Amino acid sequence: MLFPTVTFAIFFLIVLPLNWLTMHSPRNWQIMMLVASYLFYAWWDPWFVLLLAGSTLFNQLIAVRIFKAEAPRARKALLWVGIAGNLAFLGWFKYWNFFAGSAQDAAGTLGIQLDPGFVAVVLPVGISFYTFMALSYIIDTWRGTYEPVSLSRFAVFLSFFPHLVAGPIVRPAELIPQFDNPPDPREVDATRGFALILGGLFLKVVLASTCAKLVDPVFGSPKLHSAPEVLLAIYAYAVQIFSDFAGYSTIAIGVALLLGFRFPDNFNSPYRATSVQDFWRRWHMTLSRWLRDYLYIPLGGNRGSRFETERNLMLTMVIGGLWHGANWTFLFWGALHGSALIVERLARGRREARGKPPMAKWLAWLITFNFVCFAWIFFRAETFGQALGVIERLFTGWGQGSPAISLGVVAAVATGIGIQFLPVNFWANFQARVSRFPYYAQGAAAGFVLMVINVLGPAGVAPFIYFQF
Amino acid sequence: MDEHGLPQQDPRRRTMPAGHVLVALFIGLVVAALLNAQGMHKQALSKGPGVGRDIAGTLTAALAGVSGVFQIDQPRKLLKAALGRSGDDKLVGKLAITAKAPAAPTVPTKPVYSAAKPMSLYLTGDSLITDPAPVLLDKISTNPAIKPLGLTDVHAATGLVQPEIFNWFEYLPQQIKALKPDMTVATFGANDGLGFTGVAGADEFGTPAWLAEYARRVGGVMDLITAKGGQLVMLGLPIPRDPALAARWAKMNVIQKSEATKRKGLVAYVDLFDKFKDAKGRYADFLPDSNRQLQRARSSDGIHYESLGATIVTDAIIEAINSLATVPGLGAEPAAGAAPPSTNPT
Repeated sequence: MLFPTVTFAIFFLIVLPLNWLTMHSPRNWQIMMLVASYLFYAWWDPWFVLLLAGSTLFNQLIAVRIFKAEAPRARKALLWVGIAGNLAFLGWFKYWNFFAGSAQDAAGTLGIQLDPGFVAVVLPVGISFYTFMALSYIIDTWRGTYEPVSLSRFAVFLSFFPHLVAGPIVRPAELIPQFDNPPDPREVDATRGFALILGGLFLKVVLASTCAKLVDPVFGSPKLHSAPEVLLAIYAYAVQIFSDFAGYSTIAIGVALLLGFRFPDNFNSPYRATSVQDFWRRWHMTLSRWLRDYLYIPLGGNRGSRFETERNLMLTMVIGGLWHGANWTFLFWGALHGSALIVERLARGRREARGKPPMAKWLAWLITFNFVCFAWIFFRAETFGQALGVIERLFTGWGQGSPAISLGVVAAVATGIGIQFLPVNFWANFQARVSRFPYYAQGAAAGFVLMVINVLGPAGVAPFIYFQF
Repeated sequence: MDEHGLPQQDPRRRTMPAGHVLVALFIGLVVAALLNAQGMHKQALSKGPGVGRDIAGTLTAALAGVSGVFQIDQPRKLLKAALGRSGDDKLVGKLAITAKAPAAPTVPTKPVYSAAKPMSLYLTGDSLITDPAPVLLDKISTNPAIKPLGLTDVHAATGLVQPEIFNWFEYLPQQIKALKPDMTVATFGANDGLGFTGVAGADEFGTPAWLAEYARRVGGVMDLITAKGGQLVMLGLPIPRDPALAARWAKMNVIQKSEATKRKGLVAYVDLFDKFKDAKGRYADFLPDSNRQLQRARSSDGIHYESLGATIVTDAIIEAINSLATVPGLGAEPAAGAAPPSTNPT
C-alpha cells in the first residue's frame, strides 16, 4: 500500500478512529495495530507477512534467551546466532544473486565456468529497515540497555505500519515506551501531522516525480544528451532522491503523529551541509545513528590509532553503501563518502595544528554539495559503465542544443535546493500559526493543498526509490 | 529533544482532540475529492474492468457532477490552464483514427541507407522500451548510417486502450510530422489488458468486440506511424511472469502480428514472447547469455527487462530493421544462447 493513494486514505480513515478507540486497552490496541500493520504489508504480497512474522518470532526468541542467559559466553554466542540469522535472512533475499554473480564473474576471468545457482526471489519491501530494527533489539538486550518486552509489543514495534517499509529506523527505546504510556487523546499534535503529510506529498509527488522526467532519460542514455542536460540531471537526481526519501519519511512521521506517536527526525536540510561529516548528520539520520552505534563504535570508533579510526570509518561507509543495494556501484558510493570523511579529518587536523581558520562557509558548502552530487552519480547508475558514461558526457557534450531542459525541471531543482535554506524555525513558526485555526478550517485548507499537489505533479507517481532498499 | 532523542512538541503549537483530528481529516479528503473530482473520475475509468471500476466510476461521476454544478472544479481547471495542461482531464469519447490502412498488402522497395543518407530512428512506446532503448542506441552510436532522433519517447503506463490516460492517436501524428522518422521502433500493449470505455460490447477484455476494436487501434497506430512514408518495427510483448497476464498478452500479440502482416514491407513485427521462455517453455527470470552463463533477463516485477533482456530485445530489433531496410554495418551479435531467433518480419 503506497502512502499517496486513495487505498491508503481509506485504510487510514478506518485505522485512525480504531487506534484512538482502543488506545485505553493496550491489549486490544496491540491486536488492532498488528492486524492493521500486517494488512498494510500484505497489500504488496501476502507472503511477505510470513517473513515479517518469522523475523519477529526469531528475534524475540533470541532476545529473551540472551536476557535469561547468565554466562557471558552464552549471551555472546546467542547474540552471534541472532546477528548471523538476521544477516543470513537479509543476505538470501537481497545479496545472494549479487555475490553469486560476482563469484561467477571472478571465476570467468580465471577461465572457470561457474553456475552458482541464481535464485528467483522477489525482494520483500522494507526488509533492510525492519531487519536493522530487529538487530537493534537483540544488540540492546545483549548490552543490557534494554529488556525484552512481550511478543505482542515487539511484534507491533517491528511491524508498526508508518515506519514498516522505508523507515525511519526506530529504536526499541524510542517507540516501545510510547506503547506503554499511551498518548492523551485530547491532545493530538495534529497540525504538525497534517503539515508533515502534505509536505511529504509535495516532495514526492511534485518534486521527485518532476525531476525523474529528466533524470531517467539522461541516465538511461547519456550519449544522447548535452552536457548542460547531464549537469542538470545530476543536480535533479540529488533533489529527486532527497524528495523521494525525505518525502516518505516525512509522511511516515506525520501519520505516526496523527496516531499519537513520535518518531525521530530523519532529515535536516542535508544539502545545506558544509562538510561530508555534517551531511551524514543531516541525511538519513536514523541510519547514520544506527551505523554509528552498532557498527562504527563496536569496531573501535575513533578510540584507536589514526589508521584504525580511518579503517573503521571506511568500513562503516562501505557497509552503509552496500545496505542500499546489492551492487558494486553502491559499495563504491559508500567508499567515496568514506574517503571524503577521512580526507576531511586529515585536513581538519592539519589546519588546527597550523592554527589556520576554517574554510569560508560558502566555499565549504559549494565543495560539499558538489561532492555529494558527484557521488550520487554512482548511486543512481546501474553499472560503472553507465556512471562513467554520464561523467564523460559532462566533458564532451558541449555546444549542442538542450531540448530536454524544461522550466518545470529547473523549477523543481531550484525549489528542492532552495527549501534547504529556509530559516531553521520557518516550518515550526508556520505550524504554530496554523494550529490556531479551527480544526475544520485546517481540514479544508489541507484538502485545497492536496488538490494543488495533485495538479502540480506529473501523471503517474513512481514507487518510492527507498522501497527497494 | 526528550530523553530518547525524540523531537519535543513545540509549546506554541495548539493540539486538538482525536475526534477533531478525524473530522478534520475527513473534511480534508472530501474537499480534495470535490476539487479533484474530474481527475479522479478519469483515473477511476482507467482501472481494469470489474466491480472496482464500476463502483469507483459511479462514485466519482457523482462527485464530478456535484463539483461541476457548484463550480468547485474551477480552481483545478484554472490551475491546469495556467500550467498549459487543460486537456489532462478530458475524457475521450469514440476514438477517431485519421490514417487509413493500405487497401492491399504493400511491399515498398527496401530502402538503402548510408553515411551520406542516414536512417533517422525514432524510439517510442510504453515503459517496455525504456531498457532496450539505451542498449540499442549504444550499439548504433558509432554507425554513421543511423541518426537517432532525440530522446527515447517513453510514456510509461500508457497504451492504446486508454486514450484518457495518454492519447497516442493524437500524439503520434504530431511527432511523425515533426520528426519525419525513416524508421520507428515502438512497443504498445503492456497496459492494454483492460476493457474499453464507451465501446459497445468491448467492456470486457477478450470479447469479439474487444478483439475487433483492439485490432482497429493497433492497425490504426501502425498507419499513423507509417503515414508519412516511414517504416515501423513493432515489438511484441514478452511472456510475463503472471500466467493470467501471459494469456492476455498472447492474445494481443496475435492481433499485433496479424495487423503487421497486413502492412508487409512497412511494418516488421518482433515476436518476443518465446524469447523469454526457459527450455521447458515457461517464463524465465534468468536466461543464458552468449557465453551460456545464466544472467538475469527480467526485472523483479516479472515484466520489464534487466540488462540481458534488453540486449535480447535489441538484437531482435536490429534483425527486424535489417529485414525492412539496408543499413551498412548493422549486425546483431547474439546475446542469448537459450532460445533460437524467433523474429518474424512480415
